[in-house]
Amino acid sequence: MYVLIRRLGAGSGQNRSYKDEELAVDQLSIGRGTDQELLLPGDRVAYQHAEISLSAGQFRIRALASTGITVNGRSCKMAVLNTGDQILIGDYRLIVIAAPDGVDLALSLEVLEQQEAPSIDPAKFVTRLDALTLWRPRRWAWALFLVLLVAALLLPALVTLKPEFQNVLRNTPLPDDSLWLSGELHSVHSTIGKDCQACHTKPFEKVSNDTCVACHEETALHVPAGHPDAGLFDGERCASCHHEHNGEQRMVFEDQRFCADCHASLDQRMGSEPQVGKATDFHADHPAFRLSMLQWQDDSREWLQSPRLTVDESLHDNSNLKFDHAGHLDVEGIKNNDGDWEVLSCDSCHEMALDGINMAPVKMEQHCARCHGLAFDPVDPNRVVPHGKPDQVLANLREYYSSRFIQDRADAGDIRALRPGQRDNLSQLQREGVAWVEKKSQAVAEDMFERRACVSCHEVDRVSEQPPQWFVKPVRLNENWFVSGEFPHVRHTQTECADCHAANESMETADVLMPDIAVCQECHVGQQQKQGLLSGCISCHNYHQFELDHADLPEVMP
Amino acid sequence: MHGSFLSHRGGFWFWFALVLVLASVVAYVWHEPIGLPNGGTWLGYTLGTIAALLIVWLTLFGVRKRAYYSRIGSVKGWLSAHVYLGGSLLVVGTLHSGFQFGLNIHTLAWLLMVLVIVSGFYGGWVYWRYPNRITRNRDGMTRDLIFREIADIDRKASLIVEGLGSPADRMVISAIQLFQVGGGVWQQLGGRDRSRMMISEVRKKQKSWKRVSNSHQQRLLDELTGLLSRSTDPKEAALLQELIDLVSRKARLVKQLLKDIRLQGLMEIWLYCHIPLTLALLATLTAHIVSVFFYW
Repeated sequence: MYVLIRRLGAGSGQNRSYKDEELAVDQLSIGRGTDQELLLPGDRVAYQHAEISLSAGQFRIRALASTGITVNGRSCKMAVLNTGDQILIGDYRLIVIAAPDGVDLALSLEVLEQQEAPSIDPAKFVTRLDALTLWRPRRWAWALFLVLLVAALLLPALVTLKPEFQNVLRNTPLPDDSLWLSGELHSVHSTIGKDCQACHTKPFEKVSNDTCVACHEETALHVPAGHPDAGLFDGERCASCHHEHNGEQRMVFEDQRFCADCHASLDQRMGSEPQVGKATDFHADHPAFRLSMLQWQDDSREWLQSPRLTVDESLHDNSNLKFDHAGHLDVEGIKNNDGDWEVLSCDSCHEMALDGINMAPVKMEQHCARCHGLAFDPVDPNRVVPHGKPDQVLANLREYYSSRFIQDRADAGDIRALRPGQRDNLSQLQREGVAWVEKKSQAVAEDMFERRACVSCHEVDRVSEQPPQWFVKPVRLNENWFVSGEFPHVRHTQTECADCHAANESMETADVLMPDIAVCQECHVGQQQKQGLLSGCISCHNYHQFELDHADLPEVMP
Repeated sequence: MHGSFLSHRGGFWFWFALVLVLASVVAYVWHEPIGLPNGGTWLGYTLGTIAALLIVWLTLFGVRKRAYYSRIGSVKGWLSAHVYLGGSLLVVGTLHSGFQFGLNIHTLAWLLMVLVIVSGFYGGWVYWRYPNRITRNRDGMTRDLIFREIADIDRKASLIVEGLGSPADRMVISAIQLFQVGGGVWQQLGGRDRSRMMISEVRKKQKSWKRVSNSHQQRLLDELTGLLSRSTDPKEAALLQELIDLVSRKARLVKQLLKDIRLQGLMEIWLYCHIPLTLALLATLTAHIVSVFFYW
């Protein structure tokens, strides 16, 4: 079809200038796109805004842009065009005019002038975030940066660097160095409170051992002072093992690797001969138990605690006591002083000490005397000698028989009234009594010490004659079997004594009743294992220990 | 060459970040520290150093994208690395903490790091999805054009109501004057039309004007339709019809405008968190590092 476009220029009415342009097109495309047949360059016009097509003798305009078109004042998507119709597209007005000959459709085109009338003013509205100057990200970014730098770094640092600020900041809601606290103190250190400088004495320096030792001065070393390899511990920090600021956790490392670090290769690390074997895991890599034994020295009459000794057939317990565990634990029972049969169990004699670690000492009066009476005269079966030193026993016997002598004579009517000058008579009687009492006492004592009472449990030596004297070797039960380990009985009460100590098979005092490591390993496994009772080194061992000092043993019991 | 920053250089930085994440996770699982996992073990220090360097480098993106003459890689490459390495930081930084959290600046630094990364993820998502949605909503127009279109409708409507008189003139003009769009952050992001208009009200036989909501020009349309239904003069009816036509178009344009402001706002708002939080993180990170060694 042929389309005439009449572009109206300046002027009005008949005088208005115009310029005609003819187009031969299939359909007339209108828009601001350069490929459009009718180019309307205004920016309110879409690239393809509308198109006019001829069909069935009618011209139709169809809107392609979402803003649509206005035909005769009505916005629409589609309209049939007749002469005189006005089409508004953006700021352009097209009017269908009468088509001259040779042309199918004629359109006049003019640009509308904006009329003054109330309308919205786009400049009045804030429709972009970056127009909100108060909210500019950079402004807030720097503000936050400065606030946090001051609150989280400078003020806390002032607390340390300027002591005069310390109380001001710590006692007010102002930020102080508690912001830096990476975790709570262990409750044992809770008395330190906010005083970080108690341990952190110098900025940018690790907490030194001196600050720990200032309070913990009694803490024992891992090796005795003067040990040839004590130098290996130079530079070790308390804090390597004791990590603070983890609340109640990890104040003491339980990880066996901490010990295994050195104990895997002591022989290479140490200049001197290591006293302990290689150990890295209780189950997989731990030497057999060695025991420290009590050794009685006949010459010096004192006890020695031996160093660790290998457990084998030749190792004998030595307590100076004659005791047959199996006999005492006879299931039929044993006969007591009253002639009754009594069945004993371990706890008849062994009771746990208050510390829960070892057994309390066995006491003659409490545990033995019920069966092992110390009666000495059939005439007076309730009369006993004290369980004491031989001298005391003899003195007791003398006292008893003195009274017996006097009583016997009084009953026989031999006691004569004393008259002045008759001392000889008394001396005679006294001499008689002294001789009898001494003879009787010595006889009974000899019987008790050497044949009947004491000797059944004790090692008794007759050390002199006229008058006879005896030495009863002191009894002492070993309590320090393990030089560097500790076995708390209180934590093993759910097992039977016999599970670890084969007492009911032991006929000899010399039997060593300490269990083998395999017995412990039935329950305790090293931390290498995935399941079981995971037990690290410090389950039994204590890092802070001197080697046992043999001169420093507790006093020998009677 | 057009292509998403996400697939820059065949996703090189994606694979780089993935390797970093996997290496960190494997090291963390394999590492059996004496005690509990903690920032102070050798792995803790390693992860912490990597994380701190990453944070500083990620922050430098803000410098690089403004350095137009810089030849250190392309901005697209930097953005690609920024996004993927930023994502990996979430893993590296968290593993550095050993999952030990508390009320202190160390955890604050971690929290800020997480917030920066999360806001960054949101930013990546909107930059991926929103430009498309914005273009679709604009439908070939610009915001400025929508405004001018509305202003044009307003002018036309103003001229038409001159021939209608009260109360149509007062309602149409007030609707133009009380038109509202945009505003503060919440108004821009909310997308609610807070436009108002005046309507006449008869109370106790006294006629007065009051302001009512004119959201999406609906009230004005209702009022004009009411006038049209009561109109007996065909000329007046034709004018009213033309007016309703214009206001309906305006309503559509306003809806489009509000959505455009909302989408644009949502696409940009994350930067208002991302950037301030980044600088807050830098300050806290500094305090974290200094304090850890200050009280060693």
